[in-house]
Amino acid sequence: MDPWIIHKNNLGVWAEQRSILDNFVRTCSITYNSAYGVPVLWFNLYDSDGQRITLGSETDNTTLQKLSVYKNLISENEHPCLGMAFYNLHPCHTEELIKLLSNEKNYVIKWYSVVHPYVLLPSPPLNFYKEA
Amino acid sequence: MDDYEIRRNIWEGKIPVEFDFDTREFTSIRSPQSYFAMLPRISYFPLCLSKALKFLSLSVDEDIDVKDVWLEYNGQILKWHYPIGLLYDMHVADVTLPWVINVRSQNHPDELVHPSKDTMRHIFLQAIKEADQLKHRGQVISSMTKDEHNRLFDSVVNNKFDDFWSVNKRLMHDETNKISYIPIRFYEPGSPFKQVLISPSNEDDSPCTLENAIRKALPTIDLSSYTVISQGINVPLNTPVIWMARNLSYPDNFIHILLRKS
Repeated sequence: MDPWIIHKNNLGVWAEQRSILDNFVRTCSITYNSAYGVPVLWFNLYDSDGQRITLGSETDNTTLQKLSVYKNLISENEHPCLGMAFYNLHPCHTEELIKLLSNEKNYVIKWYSVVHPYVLLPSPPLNFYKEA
Repeated sequence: MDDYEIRRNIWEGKIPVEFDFDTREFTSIRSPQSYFAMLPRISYFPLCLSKALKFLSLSVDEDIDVKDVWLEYNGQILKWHYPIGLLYDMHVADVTLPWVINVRSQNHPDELVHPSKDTMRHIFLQAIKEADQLKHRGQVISSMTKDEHNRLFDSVVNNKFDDFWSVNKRLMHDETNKISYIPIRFYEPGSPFKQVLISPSNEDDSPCTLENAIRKALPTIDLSSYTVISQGINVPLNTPVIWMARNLSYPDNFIHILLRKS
């Protein structure tokens, strides 16, 4: 189980996790979006040469093919603390989905249970919401 | 409050650019080539490169697409999901025109977003949605059709002021719903932007000025040693941010403020 590490810089706080799966390196990041008041999940996949993988392009890889099913919920943007391109799950959709699962306790767990199937993440960063 | 002249001038602002293709990057050209263009400040580089690349394609005798290249100025990667005018204000400290930009084809930086029209559309619309979330809790944007959302982007692509404002005027309409927060982003060169919740009024009910907003976002800043620029002009620090939101925003509905050490 790869650990989530909390980072801070002058732009904000984020939780980061790096894992090796199949033949990819996956970097995940959770930031807090103050406009929507929700956490946002960011991720990138890197191949064995350390190159960032473009999602949505033709591929023989079954993991990437599975991920492309969710392409309408995923898009690319700039990570607000790192200033680099990452894929994210749209924060506006997160809010709608959270309302459907409404229960004030364990907000982050509920949110996490919604997002994790899309990127096959192992375990939630429980400390993150306290820091944010 | 609404100034048509200013909105029109902002829309029509252009920057003269020289795209340089050199022989180290494009090995099949015999000598360095240049392509000159006047680009709209309010547009985005990936949407404006087709003519320059078509010109290059003729010299190299193969099709060069926007995804084959990236842009560099003064050794720095140009983040092409930012509006052209913002990038110019950010990177070009003195006024030497045309803006000479190197078109690179090798060592593509991983940290850049992909320049496809779809990605540009997504990023643009994400900003518009977030701006409306700040202003109106998302009520205006969610009352619009997907077609209207696309018209906002397409009118930037096609440079159509009237088409844009026919939809955008609803995002700028604040009468019955009081505006909650001002969509504004602060940039210092070399850093991602800073964004915090900024109310249109201060605690004492006075209008929040640009200076009030900067100090909320960057509490330790010594403003006397900075130049504050937006849309290519030094904006007076006592300008109310609500006026800026209505007249000085980029098409993505955000005010983008550049803070540069003078």
